[in-house]
Amino acid sequence: MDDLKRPTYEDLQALTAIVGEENALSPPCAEDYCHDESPNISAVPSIILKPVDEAQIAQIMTYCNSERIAVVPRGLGTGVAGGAIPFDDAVLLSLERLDKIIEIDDENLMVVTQPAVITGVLQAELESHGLFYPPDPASKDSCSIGGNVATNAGGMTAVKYGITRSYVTGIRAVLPTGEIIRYGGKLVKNVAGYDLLHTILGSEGTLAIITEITLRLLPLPQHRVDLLVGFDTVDDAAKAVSEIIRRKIVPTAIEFMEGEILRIVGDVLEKDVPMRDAGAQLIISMDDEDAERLEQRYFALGEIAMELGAIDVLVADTRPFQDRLWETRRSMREALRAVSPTIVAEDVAVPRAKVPELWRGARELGEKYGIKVLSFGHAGDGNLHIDALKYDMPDDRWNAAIEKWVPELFELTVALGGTITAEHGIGRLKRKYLPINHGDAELQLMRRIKTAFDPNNILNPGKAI
Amino acid sequence: MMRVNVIERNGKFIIEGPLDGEIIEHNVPINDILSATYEYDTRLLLLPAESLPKSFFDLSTMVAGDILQKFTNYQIIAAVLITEATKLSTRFPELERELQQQNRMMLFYDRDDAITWLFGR
Repeated sequence: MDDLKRPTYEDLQALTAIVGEENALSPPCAEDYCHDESPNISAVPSIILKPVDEAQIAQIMTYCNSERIAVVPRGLGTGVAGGAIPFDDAVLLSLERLDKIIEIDDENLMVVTQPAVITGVLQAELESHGLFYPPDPASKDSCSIGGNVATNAGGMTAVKYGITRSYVTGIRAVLPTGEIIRYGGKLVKNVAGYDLLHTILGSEGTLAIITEITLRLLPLPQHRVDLLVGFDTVDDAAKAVSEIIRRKIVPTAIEFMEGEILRIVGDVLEKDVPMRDAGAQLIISMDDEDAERLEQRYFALGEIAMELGAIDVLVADTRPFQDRLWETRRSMREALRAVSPTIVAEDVAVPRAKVPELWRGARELGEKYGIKVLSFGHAGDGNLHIDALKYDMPDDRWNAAIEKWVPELFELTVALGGTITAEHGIGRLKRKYLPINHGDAELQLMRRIKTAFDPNNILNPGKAI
Repeated sequence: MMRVNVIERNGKFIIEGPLDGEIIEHNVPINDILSATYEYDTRLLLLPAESLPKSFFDLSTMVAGDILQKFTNYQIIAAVLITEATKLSTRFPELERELQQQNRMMLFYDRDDAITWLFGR
């Protein structure tokens, strides 16, 4: 980053001329662009540009590459790993103007979209055509599909339907050098040459700026049911998850919620949380084309849960009821922030059977350093959101404790066969921990890939690797 | 889905039912009642005595315990509308007193009294 140039007045004028004055903002008038949803980090960029098309992005990148000016791309700023946070000498390139669904192709079951379309909006539009785009991140009502592609986002439905990667079949993108590339398209199969698509996907805006995305779709499932299952202990809930998977029932989602969080949600949001005294709860979502088969499947699943000591199984088979059940799960982060504005939120993943060990280990590490640790997340994927809550702990004690807790949590995760981030990405916040996850050879290879795409290291430097 | 009546007062709701003679003895009808309470974001339930199995009022059967545990799991506050014909076992008043102390369930002969009590919770 030392080789990069601080933009001069002339540079800012040249860049403004590309997008027009109406699409260029100068700080300090744009506070929203100085941070994302990551806690406690922000920075003011030199300028904020809002290009309206791919051609403008290509011009900006060509200029910045020739002048060695850093560019930080930004979707809708909902990331939690600091991937879209700018720095002082950078151009912040907001993709918010590229917000159109270009084509819904019923014949090929594909959609072509610009990156700034909100994921939930895209899904709703597809639903109105009887089509289904499954990846379902918790922030789907505010995050963008481009951000999902850039981070290879997961979500609740990954157990059955996989993650963003499973649906992207094509992209158009602008390279850091300003060249425009197209890879894939409305293709189910494509093995022509190295798979650049899946190299760019999940690269957190460090290899290319994605300008157009082609996604494969599924027919919208006709029937859905959600089960809320309470257990006395986390271990009982974890055993149920393993048993459900072992018996090949394959729900759409299996979400885990630790009991203490349920009670915080109930108290903070003044909500009646069902089975609020449970040690843990699972929300299990199932869908099927056939109503009778779905009923057989959820009855079987309910029986397994009761055999394994469930307190009760509540069945939600109407949309309003389902929305109520998910309200608790979707409100968790908000409720936790209400009791502890400072939270360190990790999203580690391990093989499913190791979830109880990870949960216990994270808690024990918290006790070792005097930190309150609570967990929830996608138990069906082995992906836990493990939150450390500061409450009113003095800053110096908190910082010292977190400095030790985070790497030890990551070491535990990797020792259990896991990964330090399942869906949030490395961004800026986890970069220093990447060597816990990958060896030298892998990191060197990643750096060489970065250099091949971005020889001057101008695109989102200091992120991801 | 069973038929229920929704009573609204000042933005608060009571679910009254089931109204089609269904007996909430098994998981499915209880689930339907709970579904209605969640749809209206309420915990207030007005139950006709005939919607409960006769064994509910006979403590020796343990049925009351099972159903009440379900209601406790979901913080349901229930008023049961009984008639002179409802046969209570000799020890049922003991349970009734205990439930009254917890403010979770009351028996009423008059529907208006039951509704007033529920909206007061």
